Parts: sequence; C-alpha cells; structure tokens
Amino acid sequence: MKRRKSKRCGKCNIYNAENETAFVVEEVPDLAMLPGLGIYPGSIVYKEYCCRLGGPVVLKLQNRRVAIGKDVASSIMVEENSNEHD
Amino acid sequence: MNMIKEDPRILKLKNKILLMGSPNVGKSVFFSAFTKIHVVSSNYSGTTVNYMSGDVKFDDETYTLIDVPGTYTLDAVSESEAIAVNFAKSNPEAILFVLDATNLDGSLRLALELKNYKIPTIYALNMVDVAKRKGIEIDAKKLSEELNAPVIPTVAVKEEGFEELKNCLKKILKEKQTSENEETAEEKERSEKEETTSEKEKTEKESDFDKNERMEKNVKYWEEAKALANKVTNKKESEPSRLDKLGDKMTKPWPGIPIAIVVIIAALGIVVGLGKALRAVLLLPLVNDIIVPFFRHLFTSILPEGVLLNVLVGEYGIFVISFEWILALVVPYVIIYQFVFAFLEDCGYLPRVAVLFDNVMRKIGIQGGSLISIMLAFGCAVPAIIGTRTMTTRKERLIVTTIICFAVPCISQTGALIAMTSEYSIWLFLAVLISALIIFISVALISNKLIKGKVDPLAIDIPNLLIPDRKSYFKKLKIRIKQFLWEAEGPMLFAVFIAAIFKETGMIDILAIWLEPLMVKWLGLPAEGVMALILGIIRREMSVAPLLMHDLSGFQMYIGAIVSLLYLPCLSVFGILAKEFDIKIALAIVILTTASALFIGGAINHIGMFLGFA
Repeated sequence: MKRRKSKRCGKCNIYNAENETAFVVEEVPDLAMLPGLGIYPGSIVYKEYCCRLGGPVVLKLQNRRVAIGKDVASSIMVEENSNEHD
Repeated sequence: MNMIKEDPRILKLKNKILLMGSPNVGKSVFFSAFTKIHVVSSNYSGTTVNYMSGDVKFDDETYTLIDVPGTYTLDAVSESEAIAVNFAKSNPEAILFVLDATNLDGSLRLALELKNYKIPTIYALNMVDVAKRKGIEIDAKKLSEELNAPVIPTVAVKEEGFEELKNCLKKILKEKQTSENEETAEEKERSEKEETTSEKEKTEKESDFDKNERMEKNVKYWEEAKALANKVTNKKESEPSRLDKLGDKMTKPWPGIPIAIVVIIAALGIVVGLGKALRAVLLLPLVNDIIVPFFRHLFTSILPEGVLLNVLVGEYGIFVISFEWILALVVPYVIIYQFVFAFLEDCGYLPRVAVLFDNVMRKIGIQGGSLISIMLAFGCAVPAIIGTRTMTTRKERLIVTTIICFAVPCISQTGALIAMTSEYSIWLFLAVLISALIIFISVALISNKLIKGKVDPLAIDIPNLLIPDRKSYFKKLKIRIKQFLWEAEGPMLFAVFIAAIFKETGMIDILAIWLEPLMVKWLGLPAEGVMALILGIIRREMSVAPLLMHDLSGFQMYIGAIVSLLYLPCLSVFGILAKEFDIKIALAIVILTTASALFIGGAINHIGMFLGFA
C-alpha cells in the first residue's frame, strides 16, 4: 500500500513523494501553523507514509510525528535529501 | 478557579507567574500540583483553550499562577494562542516554562522566542521518563548553561522534580525582587517610558511585518532550537518499545482502521453493557426496593393525602423520579463513559483517530482534528464547544458546534436513550445510532454549504502512546464526575421539580390537550409525552426520561429518540453558544434544532404509518 501513489522525485510535493524517505522542504504554502510545527523552507522532513483516499501524510521531524492534511501536503514542495546523515 | 474569556484585569495583575510551553507538554499537571486546583489534563494538544489561574505562595508572598494555553509560536494562529501572546506581554514576575524532553527542538523553538521578552524563566524538562524509553538522554546541566537559566528534569504525572522546581522558582522571584528594590524610582520611570516607546515601536513594526519576515524569523528560531537540542541530546539508536510500535500501528490505515473500529465497538459495548448491568443489578433494585419505598413510607406517615404528598412521592413525585431518572438512569452511564473516555484521552489515542478519519471528515467539509471536539461532546457539549477555540477558522468552529448541537447526544442523554431503546431491542438502539450518523453527515454537509469561509486542513502533532498514570487518571475521573454532579445535579433536580408540579397540579393535562395535534397527530406519541418537550429545555436527557413512564411501541420509541436527539440543546449549551459566538447564533441553533426535531419526528411517523409500522 505504502508506495501506491509515491514516486521518486527531484522536486515534487510531499504528498506524491516517496514514502520512508527524507526530504528537504523547498516551498511551503502561506499557512501560519506550518512553521509552528517545524515545516519551513530548508527544514528536513522524513515522510513516513500517506493515508489512502485523500488522507493525511505522516511526517517525522526529529523525534516528533505530525500529520498534515492532503490539501496542504500537496502544496509543500520538497527535494530528496542527499545528505545521508541528516 | 477561573476559566473566563480574556479579562484585561488579569493582564494588569501584579505578581503573576506564567506557566507556558508548547501544546501537550503537561502544563496543566504542573498547575494542579502547584495550586492544588485540579484541572483536567489529557494526552493531546489543546486541552487548555483558555487560561486558568490560581494562587500559589512562596515565602509569605502570594502569586497568581496562570496556566496559559499551549502555543507553538508567538505568531498567534488560533484564538487560544492569541491569549498566550497577550500574557507574555503583560509584564509577569516569572515564567515556568515546560519543555518536552521527547520533542526538545519544538519546545526550545518557543522558549527561544520567549526569551526576547526578558522575563526571568525557569525550565521544567518534562517527560524525561518517556524520553528515556525512546533512547533520548538530555544533559540538563548543559542545557541550563546554554539557556542561562535553571533546567529541572521532571516527570509531572508523578510529581518528580517538583520540590527542586519550587525552590528554584522561589530563588528567581527573590532575585527579581532584590533587583527591583535596587532600582530607583527615577530609573523605574525611565524604564517604563522606554518600555512604552519600545512597545509602540514594536506594534508599528509588527503591523509592517510581512510574510517573508515572519518566515525568516521562524527559520531563525527553528535553526537555533535544533542546534541547541542537538548539542544537549544524546540519542541512542534503540529498538522502539512495544508501546511505540503499537502507537505507530494505530496511526497507519492498516491495521489502524480495523483497530479503531474494534476500539469504538469495545468502548460502546463497555458503556452500554456495564451501564445496563450497573443499572439492572445495583441501582434499579436500590431505588425501587429501598430508596423510593423509604420516602413513600416516611411522607405518607406524616402528610395527609393530597397535592403536596403527590408532589413529593406521587407517580412523578420529587422523591421518586429524582432517584429513578438521575440515580438509576443517568449516573451509571455517565460514570462508565468517563472511565472509558478518560483512558482513551490519556493514552493519546484520540489524535490517532483524527488522523485515520481525516479523509472521511474532509469529504463532509471538516478535518480530522475536529473529531476530538466531537468525541468530547459525547461527555458534555459545553467543554466541547469551548474546545473548538483551538480551531483556526470561524467556519470550522461553527460547523463543529452545529454538528454537536444537532447530532451528538451528551452522555446523560445517551444513557437515557440506551435505557429506552436497548431495553426494548438492541436493533432499535442500532437504528437510532445509524440515524444519528446520517444526521451528523447531513448537518456537516449542509452547514458546510451555508457557512461562508474556509476550513484549514489537518496539521496535528501525534503524541506518544502512553499507559495512563494511575494517579492522574483517577484524579481526572474524580474531577469529571464531581463536575458532572455539581453542574448537572441542579438543573436535573429543577427539571424533576417542574415535572412533579406540572403532573400533580394537572397543568400537564391542560398542555396535553392544547398540544395534542402536535404530539399525537403529528408525532404519533402520547399526549402526556409533552412533558419530554418541556423538560428537554432544561436538560437534554430530560427529553427522554419522561417517555420511559409510558408504554410506548418500538416505533414510538424510535420517534421519541430522534426528536430528543435533534431537540434543542440544554440551557447550559444555549448560554455557552451566546458567550462563545453571539445571541443570534444561539437563537438560530435553538430554532433550527427545535424545528427540525419536530419536523423530522413527524415525517418519520407519517412515513411509518404509510409503510404500516405505526
């Protein structure tokens, strides 16, 4: 299930991005709650999985896990994190 | 204890100590321990949506400790976060800042932003036990040096580290007092002047603050917080504990959704089954065989036959129905529900349900996070409506509030509905449950179409799955049950009193004649069932209880249950609607719920008659 909609990407939105992969956030929509949760350009997020049928994306940020609704996740542009140790 | 909408007087109050931190770090547990005022705390963000204040004494000096709603940043996004910002600007004596050891960078991000206010602060590094379980070790001494303030490791639910915390707090308050005394009056005046000017500049600056600047500021705080967290944290790569693994599974659609279905069915089964058992085995025999006969015997031996005796111990006598309706009907379900719900809250399961059902909720116009307020409403609509303050848009608040008023029965009403329907047939109870779900979806869809604005998508912290601490769990149960008895007992007894007067003075017969076309011809219920509509104004469960006094058919019970479910919210809910929104919205909800209850109830009756059910 986990890789059904996922794809490897150069720059893509986090909703469609590969599961179980770390990404660097490139662009975020103008929603004040995102920086509060630690999602901002330059931050590193680990996409765990995406819930089916338009469900949220579950991300790991350091030791925390946050769930982001599909509408926002589709607007968060990310690029695969090439820095392994991050 | 104060739980009031922001009061400017409290902002001006001297000797304030603020209890601050990100959401769901355990601030309310600290507040309860320091002030001895017991407030409810839970394992999800947004339990405290308004501030709480209580007195705390240090060295003969009394301070007001304020439990400020949790916030991620000081760019207030929701109403409750705006309150936190105002407190930070209100010149407090000190801040007791609670850091989450399992999420140090997130906590430090706010801590660093707050440092700009130059308020003496001590830090409680909370949940060090959970962090240890996850292989996270934090060097508190190093963190203290970096923050240039005391950092005390704590386990709030066990009150570990609290003595040291209190001693540190005393020390910094004393230091602040000494430094203030040294300040001359002239210096004080100058600094106040400077403060006013800088505040003015700040406000002007804030009004010009564009999005890019805000984002830059956020990035700066996050980077600093992450660097600091990395410096003081030592994380051992360890195998996740069984609880962590279970927590992860519960959030994934597979096996999370089947687990959620099992949990919901089990919770419902426990409330219905144990509630029924408690009622049948213990409370009904106690009321019918001991309490009511005792009062009947007592009053008949001292009073002559007549209206007064009937008002006290007649069919609807105060000393009869108060025990039958309150003790034997409502109390068992309320108690069992509180046991189950408090467990689900404290272990951190509710946000997982919010994640699992977000896609379904989005389809009906709200987001998964709203489910927490809706689930809370099964306990009581009042705290659930207050809890909608954590929502970031007015549209979402209004939709969720409307759903609560139309389709979510409080536990007292649910108890009465269970007693009425399931004792007839479990299928009847399930039919009511499915109807409530249809009403829920319809109300969400209609209000989403009618209410202008937008609903922000889900963005939620998934808390650690925890085994509830026994002491905090039982303390919370005690508060909730006491609160229920304190708040609901008065209105319920008032309803019982009204019922006794109406019945025994014959007023109900007059009303029954007047309203016969509505009750009998339209709704298909007994004319005397009008008592349910009258008492339902006072308390929701009272719109069901009087129907138990009649020998209703299964179909009539179904109509009665639907009318009661949709019927107007109780007086307390009306009050909170007027306070949280405005009187127009409160009146609109009352009119719409009442009209839809009567219309839909009647429509079901006529469709049933047409199909041959009635």
